[in-house]
Amino acid sequence: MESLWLLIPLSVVLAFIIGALFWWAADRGQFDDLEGPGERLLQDDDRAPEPTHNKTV
Amino acid sequence: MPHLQSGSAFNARGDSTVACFHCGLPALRDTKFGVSFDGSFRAMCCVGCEAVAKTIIDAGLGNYYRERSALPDVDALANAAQTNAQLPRFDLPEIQSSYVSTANAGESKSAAFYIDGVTCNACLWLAESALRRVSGVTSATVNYVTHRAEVKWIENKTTLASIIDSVTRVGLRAMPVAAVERQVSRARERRTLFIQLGVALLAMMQVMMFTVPLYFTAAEDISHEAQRLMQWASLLLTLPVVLYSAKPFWQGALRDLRTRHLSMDAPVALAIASTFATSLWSLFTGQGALYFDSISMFVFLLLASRYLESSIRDRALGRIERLTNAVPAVAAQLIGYPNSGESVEITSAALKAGDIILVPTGQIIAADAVLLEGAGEVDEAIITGESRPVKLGVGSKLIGGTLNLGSPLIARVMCVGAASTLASIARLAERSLGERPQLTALTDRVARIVAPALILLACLAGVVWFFIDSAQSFNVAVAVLAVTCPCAIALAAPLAYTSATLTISKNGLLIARGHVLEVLPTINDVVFDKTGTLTTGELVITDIETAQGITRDEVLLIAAMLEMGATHPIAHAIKKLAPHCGEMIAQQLRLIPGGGVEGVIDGKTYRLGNRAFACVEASDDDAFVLSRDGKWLATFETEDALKADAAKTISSLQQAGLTVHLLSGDRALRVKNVAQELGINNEHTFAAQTPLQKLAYLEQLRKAGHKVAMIGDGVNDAPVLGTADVSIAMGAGADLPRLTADAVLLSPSLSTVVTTLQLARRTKSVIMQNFCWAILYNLIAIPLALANVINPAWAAIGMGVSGLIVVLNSMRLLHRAR
Repeated sequence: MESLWLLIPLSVVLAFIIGALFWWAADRGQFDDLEGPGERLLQDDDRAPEPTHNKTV
Repeated sequence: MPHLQSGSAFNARGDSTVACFHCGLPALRDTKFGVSFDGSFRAMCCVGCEAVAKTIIDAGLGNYYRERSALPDVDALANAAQTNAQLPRFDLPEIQSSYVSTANAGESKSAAFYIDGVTCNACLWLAESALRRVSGVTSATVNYVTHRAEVKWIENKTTLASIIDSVTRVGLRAMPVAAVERQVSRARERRTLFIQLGVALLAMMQVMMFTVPLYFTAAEDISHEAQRLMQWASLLLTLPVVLYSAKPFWQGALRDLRTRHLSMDAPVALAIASTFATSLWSLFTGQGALYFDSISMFVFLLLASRYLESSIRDRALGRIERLTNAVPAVAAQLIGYPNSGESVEITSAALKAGDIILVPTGQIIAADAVLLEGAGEVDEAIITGESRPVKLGVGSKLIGGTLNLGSPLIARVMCVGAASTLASIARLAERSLGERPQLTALTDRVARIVAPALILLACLAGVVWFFIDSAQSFNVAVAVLAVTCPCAIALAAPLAYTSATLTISKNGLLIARGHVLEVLPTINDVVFDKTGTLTTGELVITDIETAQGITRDEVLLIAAMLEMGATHPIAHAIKKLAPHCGEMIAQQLRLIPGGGVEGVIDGKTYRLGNRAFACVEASDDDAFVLSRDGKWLATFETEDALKADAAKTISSLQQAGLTVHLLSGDRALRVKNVAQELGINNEHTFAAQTPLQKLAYLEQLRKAGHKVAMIGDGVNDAPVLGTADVSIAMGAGADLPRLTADAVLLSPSLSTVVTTLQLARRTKSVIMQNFCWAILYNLIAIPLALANVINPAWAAIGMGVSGLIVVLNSMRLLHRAR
């Protein structure tokens, strides 16, 4: 039972930290687009660049 | 995700052709167009696709071809690559000011674009990568949900034009979005609501962790001190919910106090405040019930409905905004036309009616205009929702904001600014969103009475219970306050209407008045106009009467040679029937306005046109007559072609239990034929009707107790449309600002009327379900709360869930019914 005295305050602190992190993330627009990052990860090309690679389109 | 590797999945028929590597259309196997990719030669159908593919692969973005799940929008984009040279410069100062915002002491610029022509997520990736590869661009992100790109760049390193150009080069379109303040503030509001919702959810879950164990364990299993600790922890976690997440309700309640107009926010705020106060009291005195868990759940559930509701409204408004941004920023004006081809760039806003503009291939038309030179195809999907291109000839109307797919066009501007088609559509759509159907107005009034009544009832219950059991009196009052859910009643109708309006507008029907969805399900008679409504307005030759000694084919050949260069509907009809006449064309061709054409073939003068012009001897008044040296040669009987889906539409309407009427100003025989073909009852078909007669007919129907929907062409039938309970005008080519109809069919497919009717019926039943649920819930919950059977905790959950059910039920209407 004694562990409760540590764990409960700890959980409250954690909840507040998570809340603050969520606020920070949402405020910076992290949740505005939930599809894009996943697609980018799949599509960005990590193979060797094609021979006629041209930086300026 | 099914990846399309062109050349395999989309193999064209036959051996000599393969699917174009870029767009999937058939390409010759031994074509000279193509690129080398992944070590082998990929055939292409045209130089346009080749240029786009080359740009993509040379830029190292070949992964697009490996990852895409849909082929590109060919119609819109096949020619995009050729337009680079003609791309208007977006770097005039007037343009910069309306699209580009400046930060960091003028060094850093930013702008937003809509990416158009997107068929799958790989397109968005392609656009984003292309934007990032422009030197000078510091950041570019594309939102995969809204298709909006935010681009930042350093001034002097690159220009708005080259940024737009970079997207065009890979076969997509970037439309700059005017930096509108309203849009920014709405996005911020939405984000705040989202954080409030998230905070409430987090607090709710954690408070549950502390309280649920207490519900399920015997009191002696947890020490009193541990219980106290958990209660204090719950308080700490509930504080952000009450102080931050519940802010919209506090603000609403304050506004209610100021305006002395109680909305639902007042009882909600009162419920939160009183439960929080009792919980605090119980916590400090150590006796009584705690409601921290129900407070956070209450706030979370209410915010969830609110968030969903605002996201639907945002989507509806976003569609309107997109329309107003569709017109390009600059246009090429021809100043010396027709004497010289010199063009200057001017801002679209500076265009005036009467100006001559040049619209290059692949460009968006800057204003409503009439085509003077050139012919080809235009993509009007932004207005009609129909992706098939529309064919145009000299004299056709061009709509600002649509895309020129064919050869360059020269056109005279007809109307600009607020009078333009796009602006009218946006205005009509905005008005219908703002207008309240009667039902919504009614429920609003009910909710307005309910709010103060509810507070009164709660006080009354508290007083009565004070005499029964004074310890319970406060609990009962709070439970009554929390359990009643008039917001379910208030939300039942408007949210369903907004969802349905959004779905319908995607199908190509513009709802201009708020009552349309409400009245449509009650309609039992549909009155159609014929010309331009059930028919396409294009002519078809039904019969050819020829003079002796000349065959039908010879007549057609002569007619075709006369009409070779003409664009009149009869010319199209003849060309469709005529045997191949190659490039043969009559000499000394003259076009006589109001008459017809005249030309010389083999030394003989032929005339084709109306009776007065070609040959007075001919018998029929309305037909087209062909004459040789003034002698009658042939008569062409013509008829309007029926729209492809007219018969299907009529029969679906009849199956839905509606009576279909046909009123036409046309001649009896033709109207009768049309009615027969479409299966419209003879008793309900009337020919040779003047607008006045049509009006009288409609009034008579309505007097007999029928609810009537009229579908007509909108301009000529305006007064008749005004008499009907619901009127739908044909939007194609019509003068939108002058339309008086309740709804405008922008899509060329008539069957949209049927899907709209079905959706209106579904909307009605969804609203009925919502009402039944809301009323049933309140009828059961309020007596229970009055009898002190449910405590405030359960009451709060009940109300939150009941509101959410209504929202989710209404959202079902967002799915297209096809």
